[in-house]
Amino acid sequence: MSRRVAPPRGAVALVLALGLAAVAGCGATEASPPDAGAVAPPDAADLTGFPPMVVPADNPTTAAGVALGRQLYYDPRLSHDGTRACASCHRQDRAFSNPTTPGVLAHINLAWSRNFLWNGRVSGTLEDAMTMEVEGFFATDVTRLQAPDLEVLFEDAFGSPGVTTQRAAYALAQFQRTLVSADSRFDRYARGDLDALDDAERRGMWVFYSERAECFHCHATRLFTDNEFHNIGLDAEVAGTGRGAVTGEARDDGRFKTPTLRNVERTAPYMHDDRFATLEEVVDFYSEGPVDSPTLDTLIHLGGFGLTTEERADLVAFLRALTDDAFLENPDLGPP
Amino acid sequence: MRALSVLLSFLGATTLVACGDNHDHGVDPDASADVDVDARPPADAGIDAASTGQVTLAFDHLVDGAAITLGNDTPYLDAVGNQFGVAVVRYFIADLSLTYADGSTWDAPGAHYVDHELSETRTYALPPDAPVGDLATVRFVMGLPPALDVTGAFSSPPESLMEWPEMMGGGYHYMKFEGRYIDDAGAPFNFKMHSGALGGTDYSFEVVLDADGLAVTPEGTTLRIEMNLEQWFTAPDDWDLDDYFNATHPGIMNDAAAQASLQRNGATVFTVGQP
Repeated sequence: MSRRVAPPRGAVALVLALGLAAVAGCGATEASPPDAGAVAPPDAADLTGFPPMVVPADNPTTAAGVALGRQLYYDPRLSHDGTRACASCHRQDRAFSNPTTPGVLAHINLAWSRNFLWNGRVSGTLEDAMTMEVEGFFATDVTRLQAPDLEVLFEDAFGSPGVTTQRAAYALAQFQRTLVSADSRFDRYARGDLDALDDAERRGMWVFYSERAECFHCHATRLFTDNEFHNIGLDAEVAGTGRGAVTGEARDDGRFKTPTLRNVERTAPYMHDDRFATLEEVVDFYSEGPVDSPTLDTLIHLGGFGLTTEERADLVAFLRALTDDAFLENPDLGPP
Repeated sequence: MRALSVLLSFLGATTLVACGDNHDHGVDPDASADVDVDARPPADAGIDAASTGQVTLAFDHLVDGAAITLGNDTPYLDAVGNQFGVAVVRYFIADLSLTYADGSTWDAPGAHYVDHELSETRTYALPPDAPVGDLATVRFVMGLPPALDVTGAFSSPPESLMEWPEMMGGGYHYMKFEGRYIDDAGAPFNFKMHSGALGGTDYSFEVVLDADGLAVTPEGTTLRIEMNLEQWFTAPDDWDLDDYFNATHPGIMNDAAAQASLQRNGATVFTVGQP
């Protein structure tokens, strides 16, 4: 016997948005597409201007899969000792980041990501990343998930009975694909609502999209990240740090993943080591503080970009216009 | 070769415009006129393996004739005496065409992305049916012609990372040539030679390389395309990097005169030869 779970509205919306998504190969197997009838309609997120979302052929996003993933995201039974879930550190009101736990990257638009964690220790698809989380970080004990309430969700999601770590990871990946932020005031401005930004925010936007401040080359596209690694001049001594700690190559020392700036107002503190508490401190750093090192990115001005007081204030105003309240408050992304 | 899947609209319509077996070659029917007809199989045998060959382009990037090493050092001198070094070399070429000694041409439309750091991008295997024969010129567009220079055309990295922000006009960088130079005050300053279309003006340009002495053979031919980086700074326009990259003029993405100058200097940047 199976029980149908009402799909979250946001999830349903995204499932539709994924309808035209490109498909990429994935080495993983096993998960079988569930009943397509589980996927209900409407109001797809407006992803105009976004790159196409890549969804592995063996893990299509479905309402039932998203429902299971959402449950697991918030369910402490995911962890080996039954004490923590993803949401223990990734708080929705903080754009699925955390103000006190060190080094927690926000879960925003990871569907478009191919490098995960600050140093890219995991790369590939969301399935790869979530498999690492389930089997590595949480060391999930499958027997904890073999509870009647969860077994029903697993069967609904994958079309047959069975609780496995791979299925848990795949369901989490499906839920992650619903964590889409695409409706900030900047998005509405970009879609043609010219009143969506005020004067300071518009001035800040032009600072952002200028070589004067050089934000846009790394915080690129509508994702506001290039998903690459850069040394922005935080430290003079970079040997063995950042991406270099993963690749072992000196050219990667001091390089860290570009975080998205979407909802950046809510993702403090900033940088891989949380060294800046406010956006003002971040902008001051870029204006005055970058230091040289063998791998300093060429886009960074030695000694800083020298922004004026007004430019700094405008830039911070623009960054705050990247806050997406619908994303932060969508109950369908919250605890089930 | 890195196949480029080109997304021609945000709505999901995809079209392959470059590389691989789906290529629309645009082969000139006269292109193999000088091939020994006795070597050809019967006319109904399909592609004539003896009269066509695989051409592969191999890209390299030099300063003063020597292979570059990427980094933040400044080991070179340009034409006006700027001490400089190279950290990034990334660019598109497009719509390659071979011109033969007999006047015929063979086209390989589409774009190819080159990144000095990504070895797989530094070879470009053209469709395997280039007519055999002596070459006169190798031609291509440096950058992207307007038809390909459309935001969203490249849906995945590394090509997509060349995006030129929509807020600045959209499309893609033709080139990111970045490095460091020593300014007039003796201090290091990073330069960013970012070229692209500006304000609706197309700054891509055709490169015509003398290929006299080179030929397409049935066994396959590798042509070495060299970008001589110091040439971006001279001939005909000498660039003093202090004028283009400083605290008040940090870059050239909004500098039409600089883009036009790169267009002029680019004519002598490339050479073609054999490995």
